[in-house]
Amino acid sequence: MNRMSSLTLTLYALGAVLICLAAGMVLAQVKPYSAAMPSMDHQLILDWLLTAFSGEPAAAVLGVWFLALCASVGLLVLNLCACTLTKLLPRLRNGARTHSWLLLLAHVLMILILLGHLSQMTLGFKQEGIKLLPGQSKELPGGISLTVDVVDFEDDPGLLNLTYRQARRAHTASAFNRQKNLARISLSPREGPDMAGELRILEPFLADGLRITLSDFFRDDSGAKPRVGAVITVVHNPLANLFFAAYLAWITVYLILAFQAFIPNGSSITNVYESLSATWRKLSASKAPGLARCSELPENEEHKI
Amino acid sequence: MYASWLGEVSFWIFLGGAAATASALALGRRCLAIVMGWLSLAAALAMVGSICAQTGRLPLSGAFESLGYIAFALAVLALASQFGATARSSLAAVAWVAAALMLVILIWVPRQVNPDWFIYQYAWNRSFFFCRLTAMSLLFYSALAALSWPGPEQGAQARRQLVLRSRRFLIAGTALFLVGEVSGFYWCLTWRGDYWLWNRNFLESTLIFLLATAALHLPPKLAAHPKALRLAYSLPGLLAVSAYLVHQITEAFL
Repeated sequence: MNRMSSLTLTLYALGAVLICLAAGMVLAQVKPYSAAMPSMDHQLILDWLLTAFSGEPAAAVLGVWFLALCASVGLLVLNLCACTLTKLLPRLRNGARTHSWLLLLAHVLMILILLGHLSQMTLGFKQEGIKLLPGQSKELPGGISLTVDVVDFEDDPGLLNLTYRQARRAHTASAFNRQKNLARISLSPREGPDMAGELRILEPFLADGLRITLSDFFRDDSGAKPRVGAVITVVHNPLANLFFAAYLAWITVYLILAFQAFIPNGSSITNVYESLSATWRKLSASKAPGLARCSELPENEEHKI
Repeated sequence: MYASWLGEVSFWIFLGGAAATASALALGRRCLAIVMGWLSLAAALAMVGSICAQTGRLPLSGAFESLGYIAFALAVLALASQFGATARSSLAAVAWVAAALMLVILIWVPRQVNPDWFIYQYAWNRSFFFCRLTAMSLLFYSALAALSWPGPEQGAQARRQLVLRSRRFLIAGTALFLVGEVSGFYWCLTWRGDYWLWNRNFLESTLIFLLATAALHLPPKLAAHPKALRLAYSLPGLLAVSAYLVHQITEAFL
């Protein structure tokens, strides 16, 4: 258990996650992986993973990368749990200070945040980029039918179908009226009454655990007259609120710890420095360069916030 | 019109002032450095003020807004490093040089505010960009403090102060970075329907946060080694700023 909770393992686990993230950044820039990566967002990641190895080779490579990332995060979580149980909790029994409580809380909340991420990847369902013209419908899991009744787009349709970078320049506040451009939708569950609502960009419609989001409009030029449709994302994530609550609490704790770090006298940060410089003096006195005498250091000494 | 003109003039004064302050510090002319420092800070304030006047909001994105704001934040921190019991001329000089280098990039990039994207009116979006810029400035200052601390033979007191300063700003920068992250998550949730997307930006942000986390969780054996500590404390800031510069420069020219 001590090995599982050691800072050395923390560093190895973090190193593994960092390598995976760096590899992911490279994959996100290099074809054909960069073209395959957006499909990870189109559905629940678990659903994507189940099909990744039966599709194109690029998707399979991304699947291997994703599993390696999950494995390294899993190791980090084990280390986090072990450290919380064997180091941070016992510290409370030996005359707990506010600082110890905050550190414990930060680690517990981190575990909750990671659980939130896990839920986002595995629970409920997600369908991104559903393109619907007025009058068109889409069947969702659970027998719910989503229909776009009306699309009111009052600005120039020539501003649509742009790339993200082009849109950032063209969709200025004066050229794109966020309030007036909207889509009216209706939901028909298999059981119960129908529901209707309005969607605007940055104003999703929440109903029955579903989050229906208008992410963009699109222009359909296939007919004699161009028509404007809605690009919609539907997500059901039962633990999204838990994730945000844990994240906000974690940040609050982190901000308090950051504030504590700036208290000049008697702060834990000063103690850390004293401990480090004592260790350095010990190493220097041994006349052995580098880390030759590091085995003399206590195994469970921590270098923490 | 006047705001744009003010921005241009203050930019050049800020650039010249920052370079002059760094030179004065390097030459040991502390009084001159303080005068030039205040002058540079006033010019930096005028430049950021002109951006706010032109856009009606805080600096958020685009090369001119973001690099100008980071240079301003570095100028504040550099000037603060020149005063008090823990004043460090070496750190102040390095921070002024860093601020000047940010501005040098803007010589070749169009010095104009970003087009007024309608999403900039959304509070969570503003919070994300502004916290990100401020956090990067703090992390970069932490990295500069780590890079400017002397060896153990050159003064334990100076080293001690700079290690503490680097660590404090690393923690503060990370905390602010996380505030930006949660703002970005919420913005993404309301705009794209989910709080996480699989792309380079999200992976890069997580990588920067985890680098800072690793620096704050060094095993004692490693943390006792000055070179390892210096590397660990400087990497998050250097990586955050380098990655951001790549984003901004490619966006400005492509």
